[in-house]
Amino acid sequence: MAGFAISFLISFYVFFLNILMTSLGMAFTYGVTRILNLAQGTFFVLGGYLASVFAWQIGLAFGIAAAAAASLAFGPLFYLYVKALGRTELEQLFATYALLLIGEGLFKLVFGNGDYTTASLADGLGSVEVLGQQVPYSYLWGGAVAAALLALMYLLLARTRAGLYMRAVRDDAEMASALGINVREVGLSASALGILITAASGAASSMWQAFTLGLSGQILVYAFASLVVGGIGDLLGVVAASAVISAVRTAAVFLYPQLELVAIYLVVIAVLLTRPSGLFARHARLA
Amino acid sequence: MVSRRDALKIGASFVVGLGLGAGLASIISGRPSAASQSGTTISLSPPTSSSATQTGQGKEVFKLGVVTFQTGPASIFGVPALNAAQLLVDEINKAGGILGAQIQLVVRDESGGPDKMVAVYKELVQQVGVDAYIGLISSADCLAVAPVAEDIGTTLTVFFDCATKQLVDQGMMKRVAFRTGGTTVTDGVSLAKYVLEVMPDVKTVAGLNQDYAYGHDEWDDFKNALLAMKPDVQIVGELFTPLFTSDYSAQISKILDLAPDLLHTSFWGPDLVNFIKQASARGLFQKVKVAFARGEFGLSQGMPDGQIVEGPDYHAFPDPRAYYVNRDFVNAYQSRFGSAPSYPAYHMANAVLGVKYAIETAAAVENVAWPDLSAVIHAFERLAYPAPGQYIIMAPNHNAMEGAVVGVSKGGDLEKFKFMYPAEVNPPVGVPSTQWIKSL
Repeated sequence: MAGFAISFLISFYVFFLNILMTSLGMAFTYGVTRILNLAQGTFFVLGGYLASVFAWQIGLAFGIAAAAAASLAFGPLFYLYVKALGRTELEQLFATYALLLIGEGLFKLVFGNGDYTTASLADGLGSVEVLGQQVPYSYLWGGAVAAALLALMYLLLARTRAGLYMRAVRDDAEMASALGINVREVGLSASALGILITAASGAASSMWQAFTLGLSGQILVYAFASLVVGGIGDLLGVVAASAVISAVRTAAVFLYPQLELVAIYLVVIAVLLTRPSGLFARHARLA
Repeated sequence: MVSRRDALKIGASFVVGLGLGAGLASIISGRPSAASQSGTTISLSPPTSSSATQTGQGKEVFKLGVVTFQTGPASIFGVPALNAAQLLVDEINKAGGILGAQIQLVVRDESGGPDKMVAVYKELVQQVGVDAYIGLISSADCLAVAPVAEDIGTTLTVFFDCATKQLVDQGMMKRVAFRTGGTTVTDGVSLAKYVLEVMPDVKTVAGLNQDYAYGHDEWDDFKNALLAMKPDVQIVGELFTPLFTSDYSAQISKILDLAPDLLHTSFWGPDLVNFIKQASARGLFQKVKVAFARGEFGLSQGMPDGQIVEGPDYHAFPDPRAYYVNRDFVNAYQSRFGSAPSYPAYHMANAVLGVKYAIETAAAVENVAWPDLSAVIHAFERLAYPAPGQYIIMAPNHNAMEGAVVGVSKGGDLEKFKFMYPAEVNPPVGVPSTQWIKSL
C-alpha cells in the first residue's frame, strides 16, 4: 500500500509540474496584458531548444538561465506584433496562431528535425530513493524553478510599483493612462516578462522532455485545460487547477487507463458548466 | 439596364461555355497522346526482328511525385526518406536516368491528414501529371489514397512506408498501387520471434503504445504472435497513451508496479525519446526489459544497453564490408547528410529502385523504348531486386515480402542482430494476417 501511495504521489507530482510549466507563462501573459497567446507553445519550445543547445556548452543550470535570458528579446517584439495586427481578441487569436505557424517554420530552418533535450545532462544530477522508488533530482530542481517563477510573479504584482501599474492597466487601460501610466511601456515589459517565464519553463522542462517539430501546438491542450479550470489569468488558480488535473489524470491511468484524456476533458466540461469563470475565481469576471 | 434575370442568364451561359470549352480543350489536347499511345501499341504488333529497330518514343523527363512528412513530429521519418529519394535520383540521373529519361522530383509535404493527401494525390496525378507517385508514412493516409489511386488508375503509385496491414488484408492494392515495405505484422512477428530466442523463459508481458490505429496494430500483432508461439505467456497490462504525450510518469509508475518480464512499445518520435529519458531516470530499465518496434531513433538518445530493437532496416545490415549496394548507399548518405541512413531512408530506396527496375524490366520484356502502364504493373508484380537494406521480393498481392532486422542495443548501436527472412514474418499471399498469426 505504501508502495502504491508513493508511486501515485511521484506520478502526480511530475505531471503537476508538467502542466504547471506549460501554463504559468500563459496565465501571466493573459492576466496582465489580456493577450490570449496561441503562440505560447512557440516560446515554450524555443526555451527548450535554446536550453538544449546552450547546456552542452556551458552546463545545465547556466544553459537554462541563458535560454531564458535570450528569450527576453522576443517579448517586446511579440507585444508590438500583436498590437500592430490585432485589436480585438479574435484578431489576436489569428495573429498569434499565425505566429505559431511561423515559429514552426523557423524552428525547422534553425534546429532541423531532431530531438532536443538536456535529459542526458539532467541524468547526471542523480536521483533519490524514496521507499524503493527512484525520484530523479531533475524533477525536484524543476519544482524549485517553478516555485521561484511563481514567487517572482507574486512579488512583482503584489509588492512593487511596476506590478501596481500592470494591475491598473489590466483592469482599466484607459483610466490608467489618464492617471499618467504609460500603457504601452507597461504592456511591453509585461509581455517581456510573460515570454521570459514561458521560455524559462520550457528550458527547465528540457530536463525531462524532448523538443521537436510540431510540439508548439501539442502542449496547448493541457495548458488550456489548466487555464480554463483555474480561471484564465489567475496565478494561484492555475497552480490549483494543475494539481486537480494531475490528480484526475494519474488516478485515471492507475485505475482505468483508457479514460486518460477523457477524464481531463470531463473535468474541463464540468468546470465550464458549473463555474465558467474558473474553479478558483474569487469573483465573477466582468466583460 | 441589365435585369437580374439577364445577369443570371449571362452568368449561367458563361459557366456552360467555360465547361464546354474546357471539355473540348481536353479532348483536343488528349488526342495527340492517345495517338502516340496507339502508335506504340501498333508498332508492337509486328514483331520486329531485332531490338535495334525498336520503335516508339522514349521519354526525356520522368516526373516522380514524392510525398513524405516535412513538418511536424513525423518529419523525423519524412526527412531521411526525402534525403534518400534525392540521393538516389541524383545518382540514377548521373548514370543516365530511367531508360534515358531524367528523373525530376516533385515534392509535397504529407502534413494535413488523409483528405488533404487525397487532394495532393489528385493534384500530382491530374495537374502536375507525374509519371509515378511515391509516398506516405501515415497508415491513415495510405488507406485514404489507395482507393482513389485505383479509381483514377492512370499512375503507378508506390506506398513506401505506411505499415497498415489493411492494404493487404482488404486487397486494396489492385492494379496501380504497390507497397515496397512490410506491415505491422512483419514488425510484430519479427520482434516476437527474436524475444523468444533471447528470453525463452519470458512469463509476463505488458504493452505501452500510442492510442491510435498504428499503436494498436503493432501491439496486437506482437501480442498475438507471441501468444501463438508461447501460449503460457501472461499479458499483465495493456497501456495506451495519446500521441505526443510529454509526460509518462503515471505509466512508468504503473509498469514498475506490474513488474513484467518484458515491455513492448512501438513509440516513435518525441514520445520515444521522452519515454526513454523518463523511464531511465526512474530506473525502469534496471527492472524491465523493453522491446522497441521503432527503437532505432532511440539508440542515439540514450537508450540503455541490452534492450531489444527492431529495425525494420538497419544501416549495418547487410554488412557494408561485403554488400556493396548497402555500402555505397551508406557512404553516399553519410557524406551528404552527415549521419547514417535510418530505416525510412531504406524504405524510400526500396520504392525508388522498385519504380526504376519495374519500368526497365517491362521495357526489356516488351522490347519497347518506353513501356505502357500495364506492362510496368505486370513486371512489378513479380519483380525481385537488390536494394540497400535487403533483397526486395514483390508478390502478386502488390506488397513486398520484406524481412526485418532485430538486435540488441549496445552503446548507441545494435549488436547481435538477426535478419528475419521474409517468408518467416509475412503471411503467404491470400492468407489473412490474423489467421496466419494464429497458425505460427
